[in-house]
Formats: sequence, C-alpha cells, structure tokens
Amino acid sequence: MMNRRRFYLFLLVFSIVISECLRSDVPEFTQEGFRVPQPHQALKFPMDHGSHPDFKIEWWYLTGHLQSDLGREFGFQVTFFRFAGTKGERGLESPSFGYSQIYSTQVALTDIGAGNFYFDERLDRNGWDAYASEDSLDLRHGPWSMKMSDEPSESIDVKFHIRDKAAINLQLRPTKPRVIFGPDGTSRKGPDPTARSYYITFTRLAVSGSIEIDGEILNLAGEAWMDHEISSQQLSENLEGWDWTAIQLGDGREIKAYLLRQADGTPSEFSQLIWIDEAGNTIYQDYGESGFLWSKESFWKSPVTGANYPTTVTIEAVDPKTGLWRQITLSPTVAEQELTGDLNGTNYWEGACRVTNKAGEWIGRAYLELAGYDDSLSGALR
Amino acid sequence: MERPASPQALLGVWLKTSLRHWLRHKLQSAILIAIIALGVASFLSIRMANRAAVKGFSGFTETVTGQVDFTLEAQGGRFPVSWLSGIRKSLQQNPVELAPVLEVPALVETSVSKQKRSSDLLQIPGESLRILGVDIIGIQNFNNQNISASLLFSEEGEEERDIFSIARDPKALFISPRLAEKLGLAVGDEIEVIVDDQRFILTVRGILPTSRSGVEVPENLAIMDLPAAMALAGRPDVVSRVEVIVEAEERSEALRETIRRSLSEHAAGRWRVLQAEQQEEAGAAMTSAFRLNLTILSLISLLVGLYLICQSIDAAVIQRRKEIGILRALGLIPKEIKKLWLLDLTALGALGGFFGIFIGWASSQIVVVAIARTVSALYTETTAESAQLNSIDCLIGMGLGVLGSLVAGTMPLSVATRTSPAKIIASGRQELNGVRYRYQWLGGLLLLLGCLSSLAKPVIFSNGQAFPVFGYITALCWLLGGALTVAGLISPLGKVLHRGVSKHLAAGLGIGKLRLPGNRHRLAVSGLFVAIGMAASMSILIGSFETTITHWLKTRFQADIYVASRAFSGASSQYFIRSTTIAQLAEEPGIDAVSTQRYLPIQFQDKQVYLVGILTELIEDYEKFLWIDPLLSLSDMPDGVESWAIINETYRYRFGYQTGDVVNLESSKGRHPIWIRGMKADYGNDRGAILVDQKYLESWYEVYDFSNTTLYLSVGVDVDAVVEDLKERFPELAIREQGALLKNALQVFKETFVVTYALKVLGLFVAVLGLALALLNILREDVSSLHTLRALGVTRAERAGITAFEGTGMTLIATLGGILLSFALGWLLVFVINRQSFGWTLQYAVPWGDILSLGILLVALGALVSWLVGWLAGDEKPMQEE
Repeated sequence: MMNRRRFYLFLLVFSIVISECLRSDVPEFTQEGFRVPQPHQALKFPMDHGSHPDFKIEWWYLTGHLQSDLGREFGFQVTFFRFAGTKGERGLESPSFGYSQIYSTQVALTDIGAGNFYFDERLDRNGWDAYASEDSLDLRHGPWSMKMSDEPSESIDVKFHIRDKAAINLQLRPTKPRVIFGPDGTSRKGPDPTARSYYITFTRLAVSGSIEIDGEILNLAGEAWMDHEISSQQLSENLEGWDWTAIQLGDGREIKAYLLRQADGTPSEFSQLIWIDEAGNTIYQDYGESGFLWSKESFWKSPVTGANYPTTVTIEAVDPKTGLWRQITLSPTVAEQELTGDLNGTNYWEGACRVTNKAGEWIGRAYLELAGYDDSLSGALR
Repeated sequence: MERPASPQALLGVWLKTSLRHWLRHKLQSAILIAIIALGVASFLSIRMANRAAVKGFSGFTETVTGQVDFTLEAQGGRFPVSWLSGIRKSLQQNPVELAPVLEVPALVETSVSKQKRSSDLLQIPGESLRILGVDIIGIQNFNNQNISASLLFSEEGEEERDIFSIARDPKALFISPRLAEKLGLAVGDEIEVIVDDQRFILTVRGILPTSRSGVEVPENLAIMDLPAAMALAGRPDVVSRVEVIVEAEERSEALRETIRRSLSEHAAGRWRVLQAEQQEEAGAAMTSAFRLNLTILSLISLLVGLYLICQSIDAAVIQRRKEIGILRALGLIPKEIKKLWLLDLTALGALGGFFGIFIGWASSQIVVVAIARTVSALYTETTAESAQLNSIDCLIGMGLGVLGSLVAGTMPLSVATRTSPAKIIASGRQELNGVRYRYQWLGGLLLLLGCLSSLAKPVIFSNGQAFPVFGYITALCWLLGGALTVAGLISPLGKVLHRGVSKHLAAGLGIGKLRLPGNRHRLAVSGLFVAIGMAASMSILIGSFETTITHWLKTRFQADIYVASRAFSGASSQYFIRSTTIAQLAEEPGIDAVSTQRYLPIQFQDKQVYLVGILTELIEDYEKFLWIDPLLSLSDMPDGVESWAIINETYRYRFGYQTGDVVNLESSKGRHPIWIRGMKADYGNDRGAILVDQKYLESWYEVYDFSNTTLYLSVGVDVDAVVEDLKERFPELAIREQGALLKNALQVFKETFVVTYALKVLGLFVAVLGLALALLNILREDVSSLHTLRALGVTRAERAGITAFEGTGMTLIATLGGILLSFALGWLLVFVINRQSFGWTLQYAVPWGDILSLGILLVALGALVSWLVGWLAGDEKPMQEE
C-alpha cells in the first residue's frame, strides 16, 4: 500500500519536473492578444494548411518555373497574405464585409523570353470577395484562388490572371514530402521569443496547366515551391529586411536560405541556410565562416521606387553530401521583377533566377526575394 | 444702267449708314438686341436645364468608382449580397472589378460642431443627403488599374487616407466641400442625420474633393464605408446596385460584350445589366415627354420673340425710310440695299445671340432647380444643381439669333427694297406688304386642320412614353389660324366699337383707326392674341389639374393621420418606415387601424412601373380610392393566378391592360400571374402603378419596410392630441393630420408647375412689349397725321388719349379672341396633350377668376402702354429731320 502511495507521489513529482522542463519561455500570446507559435507543437493536416485567424500574420507563398510545350519559359508568383485586424477594434463585423481579417494578394508573371514582368495585387476585407477556410487549404480572393483539390495527395489547384495580360490555371502535386522548418517546429526570426513562425513548405511540386497569353492558350509544365508561414510577429525590432531564396537544384535537392538584415547592415544570427535532401530531410547551417556566406554580386536600381536591389548573389556553403564548400550563383532571368505594393504598402523584388555553379554551369532554378531595400517595409510585419 | 457696287464700297456704305443709325439710336438698338437675346435665352435656358436635370440621374454613378462599364440592378431594387459570390464565379478569369454600392438617403437635421455645447445645436432643417455606402477597402483595388480615380483616393500631394481606421469607425462620413461650407463643418465635427425613421450622429472624417475626373461632386453626396451604411439603413445584407468595371488596358468591345453576356446569362431574371450610358438614357427616356413639352414651350417663346424682332426691324425700316430713298437715288439697286440690310440683320442677330447665350445660361441656373424639382417629384430623384454651357449651346444660340433675325426681318426688308425712292421719301402711311395678312380663308382652313389633327394618336417612344405630336400640331394650327382669323376681325369689330364712342374726340379718332386697320395693327393684335391664348390656356390646364387633384386628394386622404419619414418626397423617395416603427404606431392608444403603402419600382415589360404594396383588407372600409373601374367580384377571379391587383390609369395607358386582364410580374422568385380587379385614378406619378397586397412585396421581393402609413383613429379621439403625442414620441417622422397634408400636397403640386408659370409670364411680357412697339411704329409711320392733329390744336394729352384708345381697342379684341382661343387650347391640353403624355383623366375646369383678372390686367396694361407711347411719341421730331 505504502509502495503504491510512493509510486503515485513519484508520478506526480515526475510529471511536474517533466512539464517544467518542457515548458518554454515562449509566451502563448503577444501583447496585442494574438497567438504565438509554440515549439514542439504538432501541426494537424489538412487543417493546418488552412487559415489561422488567431495569429496576426499568415501567408501562402507559391513560386515556380514553367515551360510551355513550345518552349516558352515563365516564372510565376502567387502570394496570399492575411492580416488580422487589431484585437478589440474590429469595427462593424459583417459576414459579407468583415473587418477581422484583411487579405492582400499579389500575383506576378515573368515572361522570360520576352523579358516582360507583369504584376497585379488586390486588397480586401474578409467577406464575400476574400475568404480563407480554417479547415483546409481553400483561399479565394476576387477571381484568384488556391485550393487543395485532393487531400491524400495534397494536390492543389491555382487560378489567377493579371488584368487582360494573362490568365493561368495550374494543378500542383507535391513530389516530395512537406517540410516543417525549425528544429523545434518553429522558425525563429529574431531574439524576441515571439518573433517566430510555423513554416510549412512543399519544396518541390510538379506543375501542369495552361496559360492564356497574347491571344494564345499554351500548355504548361514545370516545378513550384510553396511556403505557408504563420506568425504573430515576423521580425524583431532591430531587423530592417531580408534576402530570401528557394533553390531547386537539378540533383533533386533544395536549398532554402535567408539573410535577416539588421539595422547596422550586418546579418542577424537567426539567418539560416537549410539543405533539403531527396527524402525531405533538413540540415541547418548558420550564417558565418562555419556555415554559409552570402555575397552581393551586382545590383539593379528600381526606376519606380529608387531601391537598389542586389539581384545577383553568390551563396557559399558546405555541401552536406560531399562535405566540401560549394559556390552557387543566382542570376535574375529578367532584371525588372519588382513588386511595387500600392495596396499593401511594401515594395520588394521577387524574381525567377537561374542557378549556376562556380564554372558557370546551370545547376538549377531559384526564386529570390529581396525585401526592405526602401523604407516601405518598416513596421509592416512587426 | 445701274452699276453694281463692290463689296468694299457696300461695307463702307453700311458703316456710314446702318452702324451710324444704330449708334445714334442706342436705346432702340439695345431693345432690339435684348428682344433677340430674350428669345434665344428662353430656348437655351430650357435646353441647358433639361440636360442638367437628366445628367443628375447618373452623376452619382460617375463619381463613385470613376468609370463604370455596367451596373447591375435587381428587380425590385433589392440586391442581396449573397448573389455577389455567384457573380464573381460566373465571371471566371475575366478582368473585372465589382463594387457593390448601397444608397442611403438621409436628411441632415442639425450639425454639431465639436467646440459647441449640445445646447447650441445649429438647426438646419431639410438638407437632403445621399449617402453612398462603398467598400472603402475593396474600392482600393481600382486604384492601380488606371481607372479614373475614385473620390476616396487621396490625390498627389494629399495626405494618405487611413482606410483601416475609417473602416473601424462605424460613424465615419465623407461629405462634399460645398456641404461642409454650407453647414460650417470641418473634419472631426459631428453631423446629425435622419435615415428613414431613425436618427444618427455621424462624424465628418473627410471632405471629398470638389471634382474628380472632370465630374463635379454634388453638394448632397456623402460617402461611408459599406457595412456602416448598411447598419445605418438597417439593411445588413442588401445593396442598391453593383458597379462593374472592366480593368483591362485594352477595353475592347468584344471583351465588354463577353462580360456583359456572362453577367446577363448568370442573372436568371434576378438582375438587369445596364450599360453606363443606358442608365443615363433610362433617366432621359423616362422624362423625355416632359422635357419635350418644355422644349416646345420654349420654342413657342422663341417664336413670339421672332414676332417682336419683326416689329422692331419694321420700326427701323420706317425710321430709315429717307436713308433708303437716298441710297436708291444714289444708284444702289434693291439687291444691294437688301445686302446692306442682311448685313444689318446678321450683326443684330449675332449680338442678340451672343447676349442670349449669357442670359440663357444665367436663367438656366434658376430654371434647373425648378425642373429638377419637378423631375424629382414626378419621376426619380435627380441631383441637378447647375446647368453647364457647352459649345453646341453657343452655336445654337448664335444660329438662332442670326437666323431668327433674318427670318423676322424678311418682311420689312422687302418693303424697304421694293418701294420706289420717291414713294419712300414721301411721308405717309406705308403698308407692310399689303395682302399677306388678309388670308382669312387660310385661317379657317388651319382651324379645321387643327380639329382633324387633334383626333390623331400620339407617337410612342421605345420606352413606352407617348409624345402627343399631333396635339402640338393642332395647337400650332389653332394659334396660326386663330391669329389670321382675329386679324381679319379687327375691322368689323372696330366698326362696332366706333359706333359707341364716335362722339368722343380721342376715343373716336383712336378706335376709328381700327375700322381700316393696317397690317401693323393686324400683326400686333395677332401677337397679343397668341400670347393671351397660350397664357390663359395654361391657366385652364393648371386649373383643371388643381380641381381634379383636389378632388382626388380629398377622396384619397380620408384617414386621420399620415405618417412618413421626414425626408419622404413622393413615390420615388427612398426614405422608408421600418416595420418595428409601424408596430409601435399600431400600439398607440386611440388608433383604430393602421394602413401602409410601399412603392417599389420594378421592371415590367422592359419598362419601369411602381408595384405598390397596400393592405387590401382595408379597402373601402378605410382606404378610399377614386375608382375609374370599381372592383370586380372576387368570384370572377380566374384560376391559376397568384393574386389580384388594382392598376392605375397611367398603367393602363402605358401597357394597354385593363380591368379583368391577367398580367405576369417577374421577381427573383419567379413569375407571378396577377388578375387586374379594378382601376383607380392616380395623379402621383406617370410611370403607372400596380397595387397588390403588402404580403406579396414581402414574399416576392423581400421588401419589409414602408413608404408611408396612415392612421385611422377610433371614434371620439382628439386628432390634434394624438398628432402632438406622436410628434413627440417619433421626432424622426413627419406626422400630419389630414388638412395639413392636403395643403402640403397642393403646395408640391403648385411647385411642379413653376416652370410653366415662368414661361407664361415671359410670353405675356413679350406680347405687351410687341404691342408697344407696334403702336410706336404706327405712330412714327403716320407722322403727318400727328402734325395735322398738332396744328388743329389737339394737345399732347389728347394725342396720347387717341393712341391709348387705339391700343386699348386692339388689346380688347386680342384679349377676347385670346380667351376664346384659350378655351380651345385648354381643351386640347387637358383631353389630348395631357392624356396622351401622362394618361391622366382630368376634369375640365376654367379658372374664371384667373382668366378675368388676366384679361383686365392686359387691357389695362395695353391702355397704359399705348398711352405712354402716344405721350412720348407725340412730342417726337418729324421723321424727315433724321
């Protein structure tokens, strides 16, 4: 009897010790009252492909490279942003014209052969014309949509158009398992414990579909990359921008790398490079001599915003496969791929790039994002 | 052999003769130019005001989203928000933006400055406001599409508007700069408005720009965020319309057509797809008959103006007889003299036209208010505030001035050029083109032709509006025929009058002249006859209206108390009473029954009519109608119909359906066959109305509010006490007892005819001026008689008396003839033109008092004016001295 009592006491003490050990210093809510991504939290799918209105910021980011059956090449980007309204100040919430969520969506198309870049954006309140399901991936903003059409295979249908320039219908199918970034299941963006996100990525999706452009309908095939990031504070106070890339190498591996730039111009210690191998396993490398290096090779100055973007970059990192330093250069397929955010107020460069090795040989494709090169980003994602 | 003069020589002669003449007779020149200007102005002002009134229909649409390709409007005006997603889906990937808009009419009662205490509330009654609810966030999507900037976008150099903070504030309102100035409001001030029967305090969050993309922002336009406007209107799930904008850079017709087809195919009877220009056209078409009537009235005033010009040119010819004679003697051939006069007339016409454009523009600013008020009362709310002058108006003005002057000068000109030099220089009576005015047989023929024309049917426009073209032809025939006939009657009537006054010097000599009237007498009498005939016939039309409407109102308004929103202005009004308020009213002590009405504009056979919801169980016991066809027995109701209805006369006239017929109404719920059980008289609108039980408006169109309500009190209850009590309890409602409402209704009715009154006064003014000019010409022409009289010792006063009798005699003949003509024209207006235009049956009523006082006034005015002419001209130097 005594033993049994001691056993229960032991269980109780053990539980308290374990829960204290597991309890992190990450607050559950921000000061504004939004949820903060918690480490070691098991995400549930397909629900977590959907919207998380308790978090302040969320985006679904799709970039890819397409070829028509006649050899025409395109880059594309579709980004759905969701921003929650200020807690407790939500005005008149109505089902059709709400205020609790604001959706900002940007779509872009790079016609590589013609050297043209088309871009369009929308801004709406949650309601009849902007919607995100909380049960699965089902986003609709005006005439643009992104929907998981088959949950077992996690296939996704995407529809968008850019005014009367182009109309695109795509079907995407993951060819590799999804990756959830961050050693503890959250991706940190700064020393502030709330500056972290749930970061879910399909690093390689096979794409098929069609585009209507220049009066023609072309069949398309290619590969895409999709991020879904959920957070309530994306940047710490001292950060002023980032350089980010998603590289799909020809050998079946991918690299995601981002440089978080501090106010003094130096990279933050939270900058990272992640190798994703053929099976979807990740290897993290920090910025610096022992991890990876990022050098800016050449710049493109925007005639619209005046921002000077480092659009050609070289990344040096130790290849986990060989253990040797490897040099990877990203060069834009078209120099002018800047999105001037009239509606969401943020200007950035997001462009399709070709990836070459030290010898200048093609080794893959990438999308490069350069944000915070003018003053439009400050405060937008904090 | 006469040698033709060179153009330069002719110009030289013109400058030395004509120009010198006009400069020496500045007053005469000014009058002549003023007459031409007046004629041109009356036509132009109506033209500009009409255009402004129609432009007002679309003013709002143009200013909200900038450029609108299509507008979607629901049957019955109720456009549920739930349809929007389906529309978006149907458009697939077409480059289209959709902007749902809710129009909320409001009344500004007070403005409260932040600095003022509540006790210092500024009372400003009745500033009507049209609040447009637009999605203040969604509308930002138009910004980057090169579509004309919306009103809510800040312009370059302006501070960016914080749309998110505006969307968070359910009281945020943007008002026009003119309203801000008028009410002394600034950003941050509060403004109190009444919407339907509710009172709200809103905050001025911004002042709209004065204009955008060349479109002036109307004074009464205000903008709110859509959900806030929905809350204000108490309609959380409905918009008024959806504006559709094609966002393509290349806006090809094919693309627009694809989008239009897609929108139409998806509609399935729920909404109509209107093109931007169609909306304006719809407003324009609806009022086309009304505007055409006004244009014709203005053209008639131009015609009367031409008659005046004719008189004035004639006067100039007489004055310059000697000059003409000298020119002929100097060797100028008649053709050259004609050229000189044509130059003269062109210069006068151009000057008159020039001033006419400005006078027309200025008077159109006043007329537009009157027309807009009439259009708003009869048809639909319009925002017209100021009339704009364009280059076409200027061309028309100048053209009318020059052409009118040339046409009117033709007759005196022929006298000037045809007569021989010796005859011209000799003084004496010169007839204006002798025989031309003696075609009494033609007069008789025209009168007969007019009678036949009055039997013809009207012309029907594509929108179903009828235009009584043959009615106007009849009027013209009777005016011309009557004018010729009355001219021929001057001599016999002059003889009759002379018999009675032959012993009196002035009367005998004055009236005696009418025994052998000249053409100037005939022309002056004809002009006066036409003006009096028209003015008096207008009085008969208005009198008939008044009698009929008073009778109708007295039959119709038999309830004790009438309740509507304080801003309610007629069937087209969009101010409603909510059902909760009706329920509260019904529970008031002393109320025996509550009857309601709801006017709902719907499309019927592609035309707009009112579907009116009433409480049919109250008919006869409480609700009284002026029946044209009394109600048929319910046992006659055919099988398969959903309900029965009462139609009004205009509906029958526009669509041809009669009592006993079955018609089909369309709603988003389907097709509804209804049986016409009776027909009533109704002078409230000219679109036509179908009255059904209120429950059908609810089930077919989901309309649950009311335009107005009438309260029947229990026997013995003090009406005044209940009215006072209700006024206190429901300050947002207009509560009137029967007598006050009748007075108010008649007031509105009188305001409707304000333009007609103005034209009537203008016509009479021109006619009296014409009489004065005619007498002046007669006297100037007959200078030798004047000298003879002077030599015989006849004093200036006696000479003035002779002219006065001559003028009075002419006025009397014209007035008597004019009044007779007015009876005929009045009949024509009431039974032909009015019925064909509006489909209303009116009682023919002659306002004897009005007509008698008009006659007496005119004869007195004629006597005074002719006496003045005699007095002033009697002392004039002989013509030869010029």
